[in-house]
Amino acid sequence: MFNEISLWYYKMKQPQDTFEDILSRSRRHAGVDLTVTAKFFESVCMGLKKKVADEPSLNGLFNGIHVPFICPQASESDLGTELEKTTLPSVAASFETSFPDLHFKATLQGSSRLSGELSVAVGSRYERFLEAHKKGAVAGWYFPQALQEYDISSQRTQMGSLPFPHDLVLNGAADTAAALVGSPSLLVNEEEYPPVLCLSALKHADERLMLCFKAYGHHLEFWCMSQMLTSELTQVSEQWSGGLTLFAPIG
Amino acid sequence: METSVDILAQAATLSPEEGRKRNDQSKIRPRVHEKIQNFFRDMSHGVISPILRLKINRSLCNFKCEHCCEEPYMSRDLLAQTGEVDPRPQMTLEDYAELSRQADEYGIFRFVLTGGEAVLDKNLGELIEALDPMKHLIILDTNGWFFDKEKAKWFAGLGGYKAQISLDSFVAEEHDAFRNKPGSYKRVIRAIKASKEAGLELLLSTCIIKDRVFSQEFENFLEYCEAEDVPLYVTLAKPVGSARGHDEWVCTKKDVDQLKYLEDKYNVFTHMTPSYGQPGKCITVKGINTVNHDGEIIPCPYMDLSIGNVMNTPLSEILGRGMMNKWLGPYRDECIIGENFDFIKFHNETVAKHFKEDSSLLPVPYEKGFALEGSV
Repeated sequence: MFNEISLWYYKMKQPQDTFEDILSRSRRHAGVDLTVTAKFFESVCMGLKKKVADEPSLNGLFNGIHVPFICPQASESDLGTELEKTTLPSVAASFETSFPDLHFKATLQGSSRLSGELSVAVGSRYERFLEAHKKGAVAGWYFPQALQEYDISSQRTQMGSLPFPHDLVLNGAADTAAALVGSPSLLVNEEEYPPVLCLSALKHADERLMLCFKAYGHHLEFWCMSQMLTSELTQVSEQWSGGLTLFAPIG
Repeated sequence: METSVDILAQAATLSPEEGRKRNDQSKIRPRVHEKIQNFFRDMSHGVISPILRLKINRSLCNFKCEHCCEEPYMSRDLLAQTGEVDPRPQMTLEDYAELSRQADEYGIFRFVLTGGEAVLDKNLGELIEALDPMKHLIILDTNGWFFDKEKAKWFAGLGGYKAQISLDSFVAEEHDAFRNKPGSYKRVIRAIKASKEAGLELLLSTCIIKDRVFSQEFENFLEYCEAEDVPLYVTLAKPVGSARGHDEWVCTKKDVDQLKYLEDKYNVFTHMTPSYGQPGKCITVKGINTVNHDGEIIPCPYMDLSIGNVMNTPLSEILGRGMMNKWLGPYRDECIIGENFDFIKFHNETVAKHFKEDSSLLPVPYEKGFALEGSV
């Protein structure tokens, strides 16, 4: 839609946080169980990486930005309440601890709410992630730019063509947030504009709205905002990016 | 572990100042208030309500600023280039009244009057009346030279809402040099006082070139605005108009990010600052459009490519077409004419081709510019 070849204007840098760094922040700001060791966390992630390496259609996945994450067991049954009460505060705490001069802001457009308003988008496969998240902690990889420049509907449709339906899902809130908790510099880029990280596995009851994390300068923001380009068309933006999450439950 | 973060819903995304202004309009200009309320209600549905910035009076100006993006539109430049003034039909008061009607119907509620120096227009009073200052907020761009107590009172008396006064350096000599007008700094300070006394909303407008945002001068400027309780609106220098070829002025992301950092500390903002419940983003078409003296609509104050002419095409159709252009409609954080070198290259090459093959007159018509770049 934009060009024959992507201009790839919006870029991210591969975070350099170690598994120890990520786990330490996740324990401190998201309440990940203290009994999980960095060695175990790393072994789960590397096991997933090996699984994908053997799959021809996915063996380029790790050439793009790939972010290890670990998130604790879900604390709420309602997705919106979890996001408001647990997930966003964790992201805020981690970001503002790492960058005390910067802000984290969460804004809902219109008269939108989160509690009671969110569900899983059909085709996203995210229900698999949520099943695991309800039972216990989850670890894995978040690939934030895997579906960059796709509109949200196309991001969801694309999932039908991908292997590993039980382990590879379109990204939602808990996983993306966990990646930001562990690697709070993920969207901080001094030279280039980073993409907008769409949480496309989640659907708002008002289908005009979408959820995302985005940078504003070096600040970090969460938005529940319109995805309408016009009153008839949904947004398609070079900057909007769907991600993939490859995960495994941690017993 | 932290257990809460403020989630700003609609009402709370308005700053106290934005809330105050909206409440004022419910009493003074009920139709404006109604349109603002409707916009907030409908913005999730993709509805837009851009500012219409009217370049009037053939952009006549008493200054010759270093960074001026309007110079190529001015009669003095056209006379020098072509030997004649703009031969294209110019918008009349009736055309502006019709534009006002179409804009009102669309839900638009803001007009900015600019030039050149809009105050030089002998028909400015009649124009304001034709636009209807009770249906739209009328905002005046000025370099301050003629905007004394009497002029400010006159503008406010006609129903004018706000003055936007240009000040490009807090160092008098630097501002005067950039504006090529000795004494202009002093006139700006006089205009600020006059605007306040006349009860006008007020902001200062400043242009930044690369690295200025890190300077002591800029910090002093911010402190002054804070002390005077005047918002500072910052525009980025663009490689267009008189500044074409001055790539060394173009701001980097580092400059822009520093501004975004300073926004949390001072009352400073750009056209990309989050406001009225919207995230910070490029506002081409959706946030602002310029109406040239001949009716051509340009989707950004700093571009020279048109999306259509309101004298022969309905405004709603032009804006709809603009929103469908792949550069202009879709969401993007960066200022494309200020920061995106792919777009700057397309823009400036299109203008150069237009000058070479078609005409010395700007803007480049839609069919020769944006129409060739494809739609969503």
